[in-house]
Amino acid sequence: MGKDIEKYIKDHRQELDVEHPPQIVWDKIESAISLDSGSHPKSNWMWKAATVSLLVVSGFLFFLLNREWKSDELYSLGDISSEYREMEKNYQESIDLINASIPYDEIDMEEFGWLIRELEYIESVNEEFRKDIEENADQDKLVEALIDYYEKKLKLLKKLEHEINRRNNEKNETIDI
Amino acid sequence: MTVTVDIHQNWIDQLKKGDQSAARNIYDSYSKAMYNTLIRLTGNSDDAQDLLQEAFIKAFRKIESFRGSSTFGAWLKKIVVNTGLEHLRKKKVVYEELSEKYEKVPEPDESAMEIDPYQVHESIKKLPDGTRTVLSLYLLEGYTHNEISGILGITESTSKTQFMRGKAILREQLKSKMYG
Repeated sequence: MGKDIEKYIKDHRQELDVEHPPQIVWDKIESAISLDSGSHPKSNWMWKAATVSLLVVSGFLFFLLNREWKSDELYSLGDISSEYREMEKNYQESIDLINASIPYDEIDMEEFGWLIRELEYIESVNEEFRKDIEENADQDKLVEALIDYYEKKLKLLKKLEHEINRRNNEKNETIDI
Repeated sequence: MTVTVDIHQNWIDQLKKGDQSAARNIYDSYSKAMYNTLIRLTGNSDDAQDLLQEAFIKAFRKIESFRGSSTFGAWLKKIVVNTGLEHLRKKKVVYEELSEKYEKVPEPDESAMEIDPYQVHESIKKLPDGTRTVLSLYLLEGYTHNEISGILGITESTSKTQFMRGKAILREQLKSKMYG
């Protein structure tokens, strides 16, 4: 059989997917996306009860831990309320997704370096801002500044992604349908 | 201009309109492959299950951002691999700089070996953390050593030696399984 283990793995790539995920994984996914859309599958009331309990316990733990550690951490939207925490999470997920599609190690710095430097700049300004926040700072202004940071970062990342895609498309003027 | 027509385009369109039965169809089509990728990255089924759940929820919630510039499978795989790598970063997996002796090990004649995919999968799971990650990314996910070095924050040479080490361990494990 296979002359070499490397060749064997490459030739039999699909056959190596031998395990099936258990049903519980889908149940949890379904429960999560049902909560997102506001629909209520009949058989999932137990998952919902568990999720609510988990949220209450997590919230309490977060409050306790946050109270002790706050002085060592950078201020974030999540420190203000659960709503802002969710908003920050969504921003972060969007950023992660775009980051995943950007081939940072192949970026032409001559062409896109200004966008990278712009991103580094807003990152450093935001970090300084978070470090310098005073305890009695105006909360509305803090929220405004932090949201502004995420919006700007997302805008720059989308611009970078768009420019890279545009450049790649110019290189490959082929139509594969 | 490149236009990619995805074989699951109908499900993707339905999902974007909020039809959850499409989510189930997509999950059924891709979950097995994605689950095995995560098992090989993390080395254990429990972590892989949690990460599979996390990755699919992330993908379904962000389905609007999928615009078809790649296939849906490639887009989803990227989310899955990134979710797995993020988990490994949190676990602070160490990628040791290894001696280059692994690059000089001669390839033995394995022509007589009968290899079983299940045994290969199990043997990959048992590799040391750093080695397993590099081997999985290179051999099974198609990343180059240059890309792996950027993703994991290691040198290209470390990626190559970790891979050679992984291959050597894998070969030994399979041999001992086959010949006792």
